[in-house]
Amino acid sequence: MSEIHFQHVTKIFGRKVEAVKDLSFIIEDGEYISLIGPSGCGKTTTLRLLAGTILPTRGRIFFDNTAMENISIQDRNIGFVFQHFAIFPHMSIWENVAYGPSVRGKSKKDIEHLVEKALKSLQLSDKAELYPISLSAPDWQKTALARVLASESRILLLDEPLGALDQKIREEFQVFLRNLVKKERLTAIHVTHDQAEALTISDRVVVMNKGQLVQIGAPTDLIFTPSNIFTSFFVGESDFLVGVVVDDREKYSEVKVGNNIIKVSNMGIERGKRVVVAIRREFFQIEKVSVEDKTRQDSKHNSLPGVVIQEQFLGLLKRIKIKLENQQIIEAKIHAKNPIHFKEHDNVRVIIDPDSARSFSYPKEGIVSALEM
Amino acid sequence: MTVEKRKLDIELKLRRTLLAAESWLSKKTVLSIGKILTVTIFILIVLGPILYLLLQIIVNWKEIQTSVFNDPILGNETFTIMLKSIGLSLKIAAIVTVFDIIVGVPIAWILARYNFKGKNILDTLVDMPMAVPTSALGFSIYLFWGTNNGISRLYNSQVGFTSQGTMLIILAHVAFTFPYVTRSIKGIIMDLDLKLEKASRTLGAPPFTIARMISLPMVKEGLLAGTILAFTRSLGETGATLIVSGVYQTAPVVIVSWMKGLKIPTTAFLAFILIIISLLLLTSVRIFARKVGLPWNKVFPRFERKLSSKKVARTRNGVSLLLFFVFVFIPALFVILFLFQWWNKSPFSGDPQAGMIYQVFQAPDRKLADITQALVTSLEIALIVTIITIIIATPMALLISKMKNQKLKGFLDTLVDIPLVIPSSALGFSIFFLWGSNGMHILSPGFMMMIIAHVSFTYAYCVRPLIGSFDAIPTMYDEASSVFGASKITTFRTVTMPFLRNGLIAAAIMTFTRSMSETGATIICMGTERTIPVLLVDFFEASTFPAAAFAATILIVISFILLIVLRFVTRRTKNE
Amino acid sequence: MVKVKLKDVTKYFGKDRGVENINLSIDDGEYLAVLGVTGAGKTTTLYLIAGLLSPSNGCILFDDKDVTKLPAEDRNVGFVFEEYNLFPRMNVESNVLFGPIVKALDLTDSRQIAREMFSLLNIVGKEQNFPDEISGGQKQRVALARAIVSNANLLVMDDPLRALDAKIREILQVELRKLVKDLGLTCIHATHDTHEAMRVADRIAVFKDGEIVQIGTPEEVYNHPISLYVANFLGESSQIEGEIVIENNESFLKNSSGLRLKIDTNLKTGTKAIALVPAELVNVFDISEKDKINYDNVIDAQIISSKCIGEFYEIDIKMHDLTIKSKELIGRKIPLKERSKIVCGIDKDDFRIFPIEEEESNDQEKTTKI
Repeated sequence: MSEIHFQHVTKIFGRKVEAVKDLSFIIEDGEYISLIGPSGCGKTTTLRLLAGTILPTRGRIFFDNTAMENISIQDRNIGFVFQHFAIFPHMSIWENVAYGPSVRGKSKKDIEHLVEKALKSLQLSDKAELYPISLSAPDWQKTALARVLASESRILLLDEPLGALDQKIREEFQVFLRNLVKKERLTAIHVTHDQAEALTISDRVVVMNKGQLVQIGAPTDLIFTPSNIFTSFFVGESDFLVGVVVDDREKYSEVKVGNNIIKVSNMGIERGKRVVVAIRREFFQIEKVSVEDKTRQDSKHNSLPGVVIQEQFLGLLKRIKIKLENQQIIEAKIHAKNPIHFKEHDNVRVIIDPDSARSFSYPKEGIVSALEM
Repeated sequence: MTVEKRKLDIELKLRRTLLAAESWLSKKTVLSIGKILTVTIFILIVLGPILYLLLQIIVNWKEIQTSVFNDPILGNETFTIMLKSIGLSLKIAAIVTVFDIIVGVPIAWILARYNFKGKNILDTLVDMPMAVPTSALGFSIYLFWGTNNGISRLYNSQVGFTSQGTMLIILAHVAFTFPYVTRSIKGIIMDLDLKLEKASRTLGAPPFTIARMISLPMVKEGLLAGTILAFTRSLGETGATLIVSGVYQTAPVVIVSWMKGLKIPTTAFLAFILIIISLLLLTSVRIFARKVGLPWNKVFPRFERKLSSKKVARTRNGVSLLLFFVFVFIPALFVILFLFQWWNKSPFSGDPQAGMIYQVFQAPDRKLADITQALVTSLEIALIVTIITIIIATPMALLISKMKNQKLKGFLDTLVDIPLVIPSSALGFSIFFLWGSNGMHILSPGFMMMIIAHVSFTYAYCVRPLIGSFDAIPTMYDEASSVFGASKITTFRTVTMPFLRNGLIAAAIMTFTRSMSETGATIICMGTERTIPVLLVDFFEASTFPAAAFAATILIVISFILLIVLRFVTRRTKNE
Repeated sequence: MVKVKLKDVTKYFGKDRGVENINLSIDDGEYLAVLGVTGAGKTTTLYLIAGLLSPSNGCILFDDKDVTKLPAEDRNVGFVFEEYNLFPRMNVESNVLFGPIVKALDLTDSRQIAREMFSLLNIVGKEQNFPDEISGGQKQRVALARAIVSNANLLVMDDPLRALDAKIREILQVELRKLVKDLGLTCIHATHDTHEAMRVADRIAVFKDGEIVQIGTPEEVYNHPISLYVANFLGESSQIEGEIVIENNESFLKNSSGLRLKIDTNLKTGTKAIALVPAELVNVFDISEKDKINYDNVIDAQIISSKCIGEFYEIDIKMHDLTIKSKELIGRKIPLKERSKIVCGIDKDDFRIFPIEEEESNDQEKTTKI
């Protein structure tokens, strides 16, 4: 059992640099959690708070209901994989892996058993006698993981563990890492700046910005049902339309954007309030329309009229830049093989799927400040 | 099987005991006691004498006032001598430092940036004057410039190029202070990011402009530190100066001669003034180093473009190398040549009694025995001092390196540097003052007092590189170790120490050479024992030059060997 | 604003090849991406253009003027480095004005341009900050401003976004292209990231082992990769090995497991070949839609696994005994459950066909000619 509980944790560096602000969440036993956010958002600080290399200024952290504030780093029994691995260069792979159990005073027999097992599960047995200098990054990575396994920690902290690897190997390691964690039934907390990595590897993802928790949820939640505009901005790409709620029914609200009314998901915002509608760029559907159609309000479609500015071919997909009637420029991502070619000045209708259009109340500080990283 | 098992049990028990002990030592309270102990030892051995001296000056102000300003016979003659000697010292130090910078900076640049055959040799040669005892250096330089054996042979003169005095002091001081400037910036220039220079080239700056606006400002602090070291070394040097000064006495020489005349109060006052000057220099540099900008944002494109041309660069390199060889290298090693000239007879008269062989091995005063004994004393002292210094300096270096409170860290850092800048004769005097009959009366001049004196001035030479070594160990290893369950002391033993090995060896060699070569403090604290640099001065004063040359050559050879070992060790550290 | 031409440029470092026989011409105001893995010769090429290296052979022309012998400081090339290389001891403003100062330009003008750049790049208010006080994205913006303010007419960028977080990278890609186009600069941008190259550039030059293997617009390079290497480099794809069969004037690729794919090729019957299909061109449909869809190849398959990585689903599909990768934009509703029966639609011109072995050497000769 290794459940982790953050209770209103705040960390202030120096006099007033608030690295982490009032962080509260629970990580369940055996869960794989990723922390993502722009650099300086507090994700690494959170990890260091867990490891105990720094202590919270306010608030408490519990492992299985045990408060951690008086428990020193070496007694927390945590496995840590560092960004640059921190493999001891003066020890062989075997000695590196044996380090944890031997400084904890395990008997030689136990140490041997643990090390052999750890090396075996990472396919490092034949490299045990080698020194780190004669190995390459992927093997350092494996050694770092073996060292964690041999130390019998139940909690695994990973600080940008794949940052030093090439893209291809990175992708292989993501799968490998997740399988290993699940097989050994560890609780893992993984810091990364790569959202694709976070979405691939984890059960739940924590989005942070400016020291605060923005949203915590399963990868698909973050993509399909972001709970605020920062998440919709940071995870993937979205466009933001500003409007006023004119009507709300059970499932959908109607929002007036410019001179048009669109249907969006009803997220409990009252009539008459200003809202920001966030729509992921993959969810826009574009259709060409004739000039006559353009002026006619089309009730059949939940759509906004616009004019194409540019079509950019990107192999994987096409990006269509469209200027809406209110002069706002949005971008739609459409399938690369979409047979229709959009040219500059083409009149189009931008069809909006009401289920994937999220509406949030207009931030007091303005959209730009709300999205500041 | 059972034997095997028992062995394993014992191993486990031992390991667990060790871990438990280390974990006990890592307790906050125990660690705090350790820290306090470290700082206390530092204050007692290194700062104590200086503080005591300052205290005594204040307490006994009346007595000092009488002997310095109102002596019934001499009036304020003593004070006049004092002022004169300090003035001379400052003037010499200033001239020497300027010369050091003019030659030292281009040579550092050459060593850091160019690749050529014999670069390693040049590198070692540049460092050598730092390791060779200054009395040997001073003697060699005196022979080269000041007698008819050296440079004057080139133009067939019967007298030396210059006689003992200011000029000769300057020449001697340049030789041993110049490596401080070169060394302090060579490393920084090598570490400079070449990409920044590339960036400036793409922005349109020619090489000279880049060096002036981008590279040199980055070595500013190093250069200032080196300059201050060169200046204070010149200000406080005794060994070489005793030989080359003649009747012109610099302040440290005055201290030694007054001390010999047992004029304690006046010596104390002079030592006090020298210490104050050095401390002022040190702190002002510490404080202003960051603030002093190089406000040369003005550019003279055509002029600088000309200076950037390959021809100008080549000339500049050639001239600085030439200056190095003529003013530093050849004079510094001339003594070896002299030794061979005077091997078994005088090259002028052919008199075998004037030759080295006779003087050292055959003369009735048994100089060989003196030399052997002095050499043994020197080596003993150096060895003991090295061990003590390493033991007390390592915790201090660790403490400073890991200190989180930046203000306190800066303060301690400056304190540690104090012995570096204080004239060693003044430091030696304050140690004599504190521990000897005028102070605590625990020791009288002799072996023990010499050891204490040497520990206190080598301390800084040992701590400084060790701080560097500690800083160079990435913190992630410490963190990794503690995450996996090691206590602080266990981490130190298993992770920090292996990283530190070469740094420790380098610091030890540095300490050893400094102890071997020191003269000023030794003369004051030695009593009847003599170290080999002091013996050299005695031989010189007795005008037995060939014997002195023999002793000097031995010293040069020892230092050279140590230097090569040092380079080998530091190079290995870098490669790892 | 300048035309750049490289003629037979070769650079060796001792015995190691930096680049060999680079022939390249970049038009006035063109945005060229130089794409390749680490060690492909991108940086060397950029350094040669900027004058930070001099070629062992060949010449470099700016607007038909030979600059091969001209030192870097006289070339007027604005260079943006991967690690920013801002001068650490100068504040942002001094960094940006360094070029004008050393070139003795009129500082009032340069200050004006600098101010405009600051507001264009959204770094107003940071002028007095030092480089270690601003974020990575801001540093790279300052580096960009510095390169442009020094009167550069050619902008050379060496993987400028590599060190930045994914989100900032995305934002800066758009900003970069817009800025370069607005100012009408000629621009060369090296990157290891295919998507970035496509996003910013007018044309892409693909480098491999110190040589240019292909050059063309993003669409040309993507749709007609010249070799298996380029095709693989452009993105995730699946490979199917088989033999060409021609029936009724139509080409097919048959593999050992009986898969028969309609393809588009000039190769003769009996040729052994590899068909490569980019993951995003493998379209997944629910089995019920089998009769409604209109593709050259409609194949029954089964889902092995699927995951959502942001804008795409990455789906592994079992098709006969092959594992095929598919990428689908998340906007579409498709079956994702493991073992779901699906159909795959792939058009014949979406297969890139490369003959195996014998012809391979032929293929390489072709690439060097281009």
